[in-house]
Parts: sequence; structure tokens; C-alpha cells
Amino acid sequence: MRELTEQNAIDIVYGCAVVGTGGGGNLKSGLEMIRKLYSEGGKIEMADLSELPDDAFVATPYGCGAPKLLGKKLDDKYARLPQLDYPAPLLAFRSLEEYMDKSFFAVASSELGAESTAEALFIAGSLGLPIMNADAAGRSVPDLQYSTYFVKKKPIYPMAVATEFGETIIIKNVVDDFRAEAIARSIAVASNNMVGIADHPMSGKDYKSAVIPEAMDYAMRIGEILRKVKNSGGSGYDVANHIASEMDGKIAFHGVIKEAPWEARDGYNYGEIHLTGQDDFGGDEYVIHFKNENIISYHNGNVDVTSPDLICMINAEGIPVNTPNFEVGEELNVLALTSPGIWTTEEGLKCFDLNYFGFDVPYKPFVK
Amino acid sequence: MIKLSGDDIKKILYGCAVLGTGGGGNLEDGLEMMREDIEEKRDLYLADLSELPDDAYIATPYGCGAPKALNAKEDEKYSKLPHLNYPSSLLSFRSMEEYIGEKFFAVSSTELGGCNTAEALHTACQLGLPIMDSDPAGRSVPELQHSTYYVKNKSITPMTVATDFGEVVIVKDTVDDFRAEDIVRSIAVASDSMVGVTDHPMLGKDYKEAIIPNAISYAKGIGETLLEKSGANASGQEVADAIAKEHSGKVLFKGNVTSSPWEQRDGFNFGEINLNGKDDYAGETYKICFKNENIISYRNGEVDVVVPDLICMLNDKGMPITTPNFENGMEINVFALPAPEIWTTDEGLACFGPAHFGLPVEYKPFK
Repeated sequence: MRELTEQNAIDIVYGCAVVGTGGGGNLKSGLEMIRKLYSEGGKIEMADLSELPDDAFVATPYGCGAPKLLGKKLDDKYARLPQLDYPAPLLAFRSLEEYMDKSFFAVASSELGAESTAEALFIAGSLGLPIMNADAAGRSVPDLQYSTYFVKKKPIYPMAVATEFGETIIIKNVVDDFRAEAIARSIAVASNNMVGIADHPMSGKDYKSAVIPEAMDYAMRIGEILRKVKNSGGSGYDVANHIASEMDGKIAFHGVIKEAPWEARDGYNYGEIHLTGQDDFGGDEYVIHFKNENIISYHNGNVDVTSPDLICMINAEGIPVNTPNFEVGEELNVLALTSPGIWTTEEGLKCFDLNYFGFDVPYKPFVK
Repeated sequence: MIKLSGDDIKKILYGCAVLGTGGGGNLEDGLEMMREDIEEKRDLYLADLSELPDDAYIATPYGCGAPKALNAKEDEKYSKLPHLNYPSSLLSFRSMEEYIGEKFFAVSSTELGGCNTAEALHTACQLGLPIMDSDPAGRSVPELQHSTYYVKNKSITPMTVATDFGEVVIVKDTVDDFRAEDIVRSIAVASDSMVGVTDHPMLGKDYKEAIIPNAISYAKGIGETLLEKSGANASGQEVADAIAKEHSGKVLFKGNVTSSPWEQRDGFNFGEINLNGKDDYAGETYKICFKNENIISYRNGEVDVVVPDLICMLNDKGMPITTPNFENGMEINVFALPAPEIWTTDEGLACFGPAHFGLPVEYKPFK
């Protein structure tokens, strides 16, 4: 068990923003959560998989819904209701413990993303439980079913849902993860578009066989590289270069945004980012397609990087960029990182299928 | 306790379909649900409130959602899922027993409706439990909080919700009945617009002070009149006349459907039925507006009857009609029955009066 310093936690959140590949929530919100926890005297411990007893239980808390615009007023329908003064996923986690009549040993994170992982860290800190040094995606992913739990057939239920009004609901069983998503999302829609969830409760034994180990360490290392290069005066391009060379990746492109058309549809952001190359990439063109997360990229019209490999984006200042916060003329440094191994197995690729995203392209590991 | 025969059950369901005022589910579905119980002569007992021990537990199973048209095809999204071969309300009832760790003494209906009361009867039959001769609505009602439980401050939670796909959701607690309604309705919308629900688990002592007594017997009386008359080849109008006469009601209109626009929205069927008068009503028009149940009616543009009074509908053969099974040219005989008394108190009207539906109309009992 290791105690994470505030710097460790911040590095993790920055690293998660990089492997968020455009998704995983807002970096600023994630950092605020960590700073709030530590400024109030909180602390976070991290447990390695080897420290998780086989017969102990873990569960995965997170927020589900459409993030609200900052400063938006609460609808009258909801303003009359009492409001929780702590995050709903925390209530969901407690309520799942009560329902199962078990005390959970640790908190697991559902994906590596600036906001989603910060939330898991915050919940772990608030509950006084360790966060597992592991993850169910090893990157950010657009849907509930893109998880190694799904690939390894670990049931998502029982699943606890909590509203921001302090209401608790237990989803005892569902046909599959898609139905879990449909039911949880419908409750979110009826609850001011946001609910806290705790799901995939499982024994340590099951958990160990279903997750990507050392995922927090991985994110922390990326965050550390980013911080060190930036602090020594490196450019965004330098940051991208260092991460790529130290983390088994490659620089994919360096350019400025020409256009970035996108739309919100069915609860997702869909769009494209078009880049014009500069410096070493002068005269080249680059296009990235995203569905919340970056899915596929083309270099001068040829397929360059395909999911589940990671297409990461860093701006001129060395800060990870989040979809759809793009401005024409803004510099973007694109780097590719290797997918966690589980996604490139046959069962992993069946789940993370480019065809599902509408691209008739087979997955090919990017060429370094 | 009185043993109910197959004929008794049919009478109850026909009566409930009349009291459904268009809602409460399709009578055909209700009869189909009970067909096997009747054929197999499964025991079903009707228990009087006085027979319910104060310290025994009781709960209320029902279906919640927007009833589908009788011939509606299932969306592919749902047809690929496994389906229960018994009603989801039964699964929700069993899940409730398991969740609270208590066996129930009896089953309560949630409203009087052609299919919804059948769900309670079927659940009672399958579990070998009596059905209470009482009801928390005394008619059909569109929303969860339209119940005497709500008026009498009885907690709706915990609730168990079951889908037709065998999924179970436990709503442990909610801020109030309105939030319970929102949450359960949203699960229904995500589950082909229909879920089975069991709610208001409570002690016999609490149940007795919160309920409309003799409600199932009341429905049975109406069904008896209906089946007797229609069995003797009476017209729909004659059946309506007879029910109105014997049950303090009033015939409102007889006419043919000219249009019945409706839509499914937010888990409800919303719409209106427009009628052109015939015989005694020739030259007149009638309009009924519904939200699952009939809410208000207008005769020649003037308000005629409004909730909580009942606006009931029979076809030309004297059979009850449920929303949205309307066709242009179809004959409808409309009549009113009085609201159960609790709905006409101040608290009752605050819950289920015209204002709840945004109608700028005072409730006045029909004459």
C-alpha cells in the first residue's frame, strides 16, 4: 500500500487526460476534485493487485449522464428537491455495500480519464479506502461495455444507482451490459441528467483476472514526463516527443487545426479534426475521427492509427486537449500509444470493433 | 374469505375494464392472463379487510407503462432479448418478498382496470394468496401517486420493478411519490414501455386505514350487470343505461368516433376521442381527452364531466373499450360513475383533481 502525494494524484490526472484520447471528461474539473480533497486534509492510498485479498470485494464507482454546463440554473422540477452535499457515486458505493452486506476493500476505476479517474480517486479518498492500481479500460472509452470486465464476462450487477437528491436504486440483474446502460441512463435522464453508479462488485480473485494491472502507475508516469518536460521549458511538441519515446509510442503529427466540425448526437460528441502540418510535417495533412474518444486517424489520406491504439493530443503549451474544445489555428501535437494488450486479443477486438464505429478498416498496430 | 369462481373473476375483470375509463390495460390481456388460472380451477379467495391481521404484511403488484395497441409489433431492440413467460408484476412481487425478507399475507390491487387488476388476481393465484376486497384507487388512474396510499401518507418505497426481460430493479428510497413515478416511468420507457411493479409493502394495520373498502365487490357488481345484459343481447346503450341506473351513474352520450388522434409520450398515451351524436344525441358532438385514462369530457364544447369522476366507455355490443383501440365510425356509449368519496375530499382533489392535469376547471360532481 502506498500513500499518494497530492503531486502523485495530479500527475495521474494529467496522465489520464493524455490517455483520454479526447474523452474521459474535463481536466480542469478533475484537478479541482483532487485539490479539494487534499486541501481538506484528505489522503489517498493505492493498493497493488498483489495486496488485494482473493476473498475481499471491490466495486467501481463513477458518474453517468451528460455533464452540465457550468453556471446552469437547476430546473424548477429539481430545485424543490433536497440536494446531496457530496458526490452521488459515493452514496451509490455505500448503498451497494449495504445491499450486498459486505464492506468493500478498495475502489476500482472504470476508465483512465481526467475526470472519471479523478472521481474514483476522490471517492476512494472520501471513503478512506485504497484505489486499486489497475483499471478496467487502460484508456478512455465511449460506452459502458468497453471494459475488460465485459471482455472477461464479469457481471455488471448488482449495480447501485444514486441520484443527486439522495435517492438510491439497486439494479439487481439485467440481461446484459447494454440493458444496464439503457436502464441507468434512463434513471439519469429522469434525475437532472446525472446519477452516481457503483457496479461490477466482485471478489479480489475475479477482479485480478479481469483488469489491466498497474494502470495508475502507467498514467502517473505519463503525467510525470509531461510535468518535467514542461517545467524545464519544453514545448508541447517536446512533451509529446518525450512521452512517445519513453512510453513505447510514436509522434503521429505536429500541425495546426484547419477545421473541426462536430455534433452532439444520442448523448455523444461525433466529429473530425483536420490538421495542416508544420515543421517536420510541413505540407502534410492529418485527420482524426472521434466519438467522444479518438477512433481513427489518417495521414495524407492513408490510415495511420486505429483504435484500440491510443490517439493522444497535446497543445502548444504541453496540455492535453479535450474534445470538442478545438479552435481553428490552434497547434496540436498528436502522438500514438500502444493499446493495452487485452484490447488487441481476438475477444478484445470483437468488443472494440472499428466496424461498430462505421469504419470498414481492420485494426493494425501503428508503425513506429 | 369468499372463494371466487371463474365466472366471478370474469365479472370482476369486465367491471374493472368499465372502471378503467379507457386505461387500466386491455381487458383482452387481462382475460388471457387469467385464462389458465380459470381453466385449471386454481383457488382464489377474496379477503375482507376484517380478515387481514394487523401485523401481517401486504403489497401491491401492477403493470406500469403505456399499454400497447392489441396488434402492435415488438421493436427489434427488444425482440432479441429473452422474455419472461409469466407477468413481470409476479416477478416484482417475489423480488419484494425476497428483498424485505417477509412473506406477504395477501395481494392488493393497485387500481381497478381490465389488465391491472388481473395482474393482482394472477399474482394472488400463482402464489396461493388471497386478494383483498379493497383498492387504493377505486378506478383506474394514470400516475403512481394517484392513490389513497399517497393521500394517507403511506410510503411507496421500497419498490421492486421487473422488466419483461426478467430484469429486477429495487427502488430503495425516493424523495416522494412523484420522484418514484419519474424513476419507474423512465425504466419503463427504457424497457419497451412496460414494467411490472410491486410497491407500498406495509402492515395490515396501515393498509386498513389507507384503502377503499369493498372495491373488488363493487367491480364485480358492475361486471355482473354488464355480462347479464350483453348476454341477453342488449345493445351497448342498454348496457350503459343499466349500469348507470344500478350504480348511481348517468348516461352521457352515444355517438360514432370521427377522429381519435393520440401519441405515446413520456411513457403515457395522450389523446382525444371525438364523437358525432346519434339517436337521442343526433346533431351533437362530444370530446373526451385522455392521459391513459379519460380525464375530462366536453359536450358541444362545454365541460361535461371531469376527474375524479369516471368517464366510462362501452361499444355497440356493450363491451368496455380501452385506449387507444379506437376506429373511426366505431360506436361509443359514454356514461359517468361517481368518484370514490376519498377523491372528492380536499386532499383527494389536490392529488387527482382537474388542477393536477393543468385544467382550469373546478371539480363539480356530475348530476
